[in-house]
Amino acid sequence: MESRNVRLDRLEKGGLQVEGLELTVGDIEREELWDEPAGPYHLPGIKDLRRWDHLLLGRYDSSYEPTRDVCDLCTFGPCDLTDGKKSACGLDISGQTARMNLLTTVMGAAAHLSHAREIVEHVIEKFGPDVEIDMGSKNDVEAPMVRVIAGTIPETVGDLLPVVEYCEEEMNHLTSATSTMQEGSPLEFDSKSLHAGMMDNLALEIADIAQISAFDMPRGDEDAPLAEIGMGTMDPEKPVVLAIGHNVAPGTSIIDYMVENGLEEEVEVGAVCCNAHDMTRINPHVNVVGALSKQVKYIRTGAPDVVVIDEQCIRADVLEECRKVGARLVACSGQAVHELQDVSDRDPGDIVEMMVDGEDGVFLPEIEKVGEVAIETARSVYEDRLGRKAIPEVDELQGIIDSCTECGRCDRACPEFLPITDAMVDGMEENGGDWSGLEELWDRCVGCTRCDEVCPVMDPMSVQETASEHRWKTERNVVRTGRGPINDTEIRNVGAPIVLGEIPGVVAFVGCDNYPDGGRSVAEVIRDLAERNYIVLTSGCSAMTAGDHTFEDGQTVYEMFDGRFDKGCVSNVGSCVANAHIVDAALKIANLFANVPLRDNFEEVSDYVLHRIGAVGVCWGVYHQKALAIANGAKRWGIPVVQGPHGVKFRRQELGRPDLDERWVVNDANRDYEEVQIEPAPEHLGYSAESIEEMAVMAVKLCMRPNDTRQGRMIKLTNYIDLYRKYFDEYPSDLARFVRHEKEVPLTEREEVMEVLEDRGWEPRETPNPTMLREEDRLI
Amino acid sequence: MAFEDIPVDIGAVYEGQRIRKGDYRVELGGKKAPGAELVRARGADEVEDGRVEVIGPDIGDMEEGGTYPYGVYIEMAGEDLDRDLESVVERRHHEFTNYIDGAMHLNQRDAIWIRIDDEAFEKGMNSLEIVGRALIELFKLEMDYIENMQVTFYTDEAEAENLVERAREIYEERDARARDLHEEDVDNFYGCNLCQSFAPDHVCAITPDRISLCGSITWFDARAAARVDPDGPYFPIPKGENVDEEHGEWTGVNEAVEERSGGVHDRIWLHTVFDNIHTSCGCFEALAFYMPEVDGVGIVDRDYSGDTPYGVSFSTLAGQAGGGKQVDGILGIAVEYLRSPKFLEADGGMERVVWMPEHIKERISDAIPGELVDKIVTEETTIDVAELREELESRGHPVSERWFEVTDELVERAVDYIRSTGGKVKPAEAAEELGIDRDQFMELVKELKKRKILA
Amino acid sequence: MTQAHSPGNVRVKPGADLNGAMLGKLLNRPGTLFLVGSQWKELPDGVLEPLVDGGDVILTGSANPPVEKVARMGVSEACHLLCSEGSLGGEYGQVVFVGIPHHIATGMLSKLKHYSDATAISLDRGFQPDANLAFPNLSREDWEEELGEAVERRSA
Ligand code: SF4
Ligand code: SF4
Repeated sequence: MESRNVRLDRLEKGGLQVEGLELTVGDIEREELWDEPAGPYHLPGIKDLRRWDHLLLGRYDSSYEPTRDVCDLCTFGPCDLTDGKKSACGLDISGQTARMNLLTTVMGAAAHLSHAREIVEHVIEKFGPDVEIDMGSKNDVEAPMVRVIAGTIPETVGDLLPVVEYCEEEMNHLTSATSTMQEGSPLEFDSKSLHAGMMDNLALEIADIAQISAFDMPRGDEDAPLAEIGMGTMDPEKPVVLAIGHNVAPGTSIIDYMVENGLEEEVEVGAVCCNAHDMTRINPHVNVVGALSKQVKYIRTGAPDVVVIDEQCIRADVLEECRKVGARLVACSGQAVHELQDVSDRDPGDIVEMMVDGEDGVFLPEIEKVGEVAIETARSVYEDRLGRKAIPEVDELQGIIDSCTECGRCDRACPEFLPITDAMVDGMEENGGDWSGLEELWDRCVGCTRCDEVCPVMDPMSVQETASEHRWKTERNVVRTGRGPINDTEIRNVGAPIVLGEIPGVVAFVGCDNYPDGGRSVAEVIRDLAERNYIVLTSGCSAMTAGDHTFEDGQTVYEMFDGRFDKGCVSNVGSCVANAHIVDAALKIANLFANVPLRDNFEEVSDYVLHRIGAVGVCWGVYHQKALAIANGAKRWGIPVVQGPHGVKFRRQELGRPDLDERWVVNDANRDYEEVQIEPAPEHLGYSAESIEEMAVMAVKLCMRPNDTRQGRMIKLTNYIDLYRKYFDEYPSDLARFVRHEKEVPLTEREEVMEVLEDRGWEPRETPNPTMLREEDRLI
Repeated sequence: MAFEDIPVDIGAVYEGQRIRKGDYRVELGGKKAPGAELVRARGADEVEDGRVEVIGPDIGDMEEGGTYPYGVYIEMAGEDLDRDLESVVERRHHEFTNYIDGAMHLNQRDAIWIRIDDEAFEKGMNSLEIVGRALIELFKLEMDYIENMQVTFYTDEAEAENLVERAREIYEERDARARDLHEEDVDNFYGCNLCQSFAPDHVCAITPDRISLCGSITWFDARAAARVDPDGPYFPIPKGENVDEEHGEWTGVNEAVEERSGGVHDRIWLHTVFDNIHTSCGCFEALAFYMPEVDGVGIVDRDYSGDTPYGVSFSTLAGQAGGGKQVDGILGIAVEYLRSPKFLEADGGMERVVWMPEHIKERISDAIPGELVDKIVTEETTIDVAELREELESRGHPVSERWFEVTDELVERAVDYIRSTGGKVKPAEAAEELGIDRDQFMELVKELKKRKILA
Repeated sequence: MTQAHSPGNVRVKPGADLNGAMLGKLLNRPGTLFLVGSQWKELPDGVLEPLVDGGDVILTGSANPPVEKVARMGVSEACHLLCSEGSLGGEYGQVVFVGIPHHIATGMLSKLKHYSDATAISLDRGFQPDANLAFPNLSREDWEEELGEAVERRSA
């Protein structure tokens, strides 16, 4: 009768008077109405979830890949850790590597957490603490992670502050643990890395629900509008303001000023990186220049009159790059000040004047003033700027290319080993002056400028840029704007098709664009998976990459596929912080389908996710520490992550051991928690693939879960086999491990496969109700 | 391999493929040409296994980019086959056609719409014979009770029209038979535990009068599936004894649910929103929810995103119901269940339904008794429970006769009671004390407020 | 492909750079495992087969060269097993990286350096300081020449 009880309370909120007597019927806070039982982990500290981490890391080995043989973090050192030697403080290479992974995770998580605090504070400052948290009518569970970790239902943005404080406290403990002579065990460092990852994910959720609520961003928009993306979206003949970074606050100020003064036609406003996502979530007319790799490339075209930076993913030499083209820099966050003069107390008009008079940048943490300053400065200076750029003119290019000494330094410096020298050589007049190689590099180049640093005669990156000028000048594709949360209703809609085997899994393409070989192949894998009926999600720079490539009919994946959370759809959740919605979708499934209580119940929720929800994160172009933090969080929640080859530089993968049966034993909740053997699913928790093909095969393989229904397993295996064949040109040798029942073998090859399996002594297996927990650890 | 001589690939991976305008060689059926799919069970000697016939132009003869009629007539034979399996087999035609790389099948029955893409055509898929062979192969692989199968395609306009007409008659016949088959007429119900994958305590009981709550599995489907795959997710439930006719309680269902839910549930009433109600997993299409203020039942489905008169949206309501729990007053259902003659029989059936979204009302209008149609309120009139009550009263909805009235005598007793407690009133205790139920107590509180006795 | 990007690492066992003649000799050692990765096509035609002849081959990534393999698995998986006694660990005295993308190879070579007793050889064109033996940064021509020489040495 709980529901009716709740009903009464809701209706009768407020005290009742009976002739002076106060009645206590009703007047119950929302939180007290939350009849969900609470689990044991309220605001868990480092020590509280160790058991879960140890369970996870007992199944998945930490595979350490040290990037340094020495530790030089304290003055005992540097200490040589090779050949099993310990450091002066007693740590061995595993401990040190695990510690560095923790430190890296902490860096990433801190960036997100600081961002979360800034957004929350900004919202409170601007609108007061009572801005209601509202994820739209299709979302009842507004903040799944906050519910799980902080055991509370936040009603207002102000309610998020204590959760931010909790994260900050934990982050401080975690940072402390990286200092010398604290933790000594690699396993415990790993557990702490997962804890830091969880803090990161929580910070993402806080930041995104705060900004969605305050700035009226799409709330689970299943048909979010398309925004233009590309270096050709803005008209460089107009005043141009470019925002760089991750914190949308200055962006809102720019949009507000533009809209309030009716300048949409006169001024071009665009952004790179996550800021672009968040600004288009507020106003889809903002231009998305592109992912991180476009930052310097775009500045060098000379188009921006004013560059506004806030925090994260801002190049350290942004001021220098701005100076090259005379663009004025406005820094808005204490995170990245660049020695600029603080002008907070000046009038916007004065600041504009300063910059028109030649000041090349200002520090302006007074967010409200940013819009006026940026736009008015751009309007005042743009005419002088026209024609200025930091890349060669087309007519000088041949001479520059011909000056290449073929020394090969650029190739060696390039993080992607792009064949720059070959392209230069082909481009030389004496060899026919074919610039197509340079043009092709343009697509694959991640914009790091490392070649520029080493080349004795030119800036090879700028040479590529001029060589492909005719392309990027008109480059205009589309990206779906960030939709925000996955709706409860969408999650319910996919329940039946998942169990009936129509949807093989959920694959989320997240993170940066440090692609080993350009982004085109990422868009191709997305298309392939959507055509195979996977639910495909995108976020951050990956979401932009997905929209930045077109296929045969000139369409991007966002035009080819709908933006719902459904089979064969591709939807962009939004910026980096919107990644929270991907994890949140998994938590909602647990809550909506099995009524797993979220409240303070981390272990049980994650156990559910790990064993049941066929979701995988792919971070093909991983570069930033934030990507590691997000990934480590996802892993702790039970969602495996596949990274690109650069991922090994984070020094640790979490690899399963399919060869060891004893690792794959769970308790069967339907059979008195008796131990049962399962297949290695998901096989790994953190994995780096060397090639995009391997990534695709691994991603679909990691969608398998021990709870898969037969139909579900069948469709998963069908795709696994098919992709394996497509890319490796052979049959997967581990198929027998994943077949529990004859009906799980794809229909068209059942006979042949079963013959082979039976020859190898294959036996059918039951599908358990799997958990790594004991009965007494669970609420349900 | 069984599909060796077929020029294109066959497999479940192609199911999601779409063939866009401009990419297809020919289009069959759809809105512009007649089309239908029909499966019939025949005697063994009436079906020549593997035979494919094309009556009318074949793909190769068709004009590029053209639209042609498409009748697919599939005849099958097998010892264990019967009429009731026809529709089950027929439904898979959609999926299996889609298994063919370069073929897209949309919709079902007489609305089917097929496209064959250019690439497949170039690879040699220039005849429906190939499609037919692939279909036969797939059907026989998946359903081993099919021993012989033959397929006839009609692309000739008149012949196709003919098939469409015949198919429509048969659809109607089948639908009528399904409509006329009830719980009393069968020995076995069926259970489905697919959803245990996500909701470990949930078991769906499927009867001729109760489709699975995801709306995907009818009693016929479950029976067919249980027959081919006896250790699969669908299982027969010998219905046992009908121990409580009013609520639809069967001993067989109780036992099966107890066994399959690991003992979490042991008593299920099939046709009510109260007490021992059927559990809900998470993928129910709609909810039936009890509103004590009007003593009636509301219906809301996933596609309705606004608030209900319950004060909350589908999502919020659903959040209380799912997860394989028995939640008194909120029941996950398939929209089709609204058509069942046993729909919430224990609670008064459709007569107890007071509110539903307009689009559902339209969809099931034929299942609402004529005199009730105008009495059921939708969001277009109100989503406010007080207004709903007034509306029901003025429309003379049958639930209004059940309403509890607050008499002066009751008001007096209530005030005395509240005084005696010193102000700390617990609804359950108060209701008991006053000899009414909790919902009635709530009514009473409201009345007290109205009369300004309570602030 | 070329130069090492982890110049921070000390070379634990300093020694001569790898060259073709040395490589030819080393490859004749029994107990050699080749990890052949998705960039195997960078090798000049016809070189891979004689190079791996006589050793065991694990194909990684999406490599599909015309050589006999004992298994296909991710390079991360293979190296992890090589560091684990009782699986691949201890079975091979020598592991040779061929056509594995440079960065992931660096990570794996570092892993082997710290956690396995096997000698690791990189045939990467770029220097790999974490391998026991690796070519110095070579131009394509020089690299092809060294590989050619190794093949010649083997058959001699
Ligand atoms: S700027 Fe581009 S081409 Fe140059 S080193 Fe960086 S990624 Fe390579
Ligand atoms: S570094 Fe400069 S000079 Fe040397 S090869 Fe590259 S482009 Fe040519």
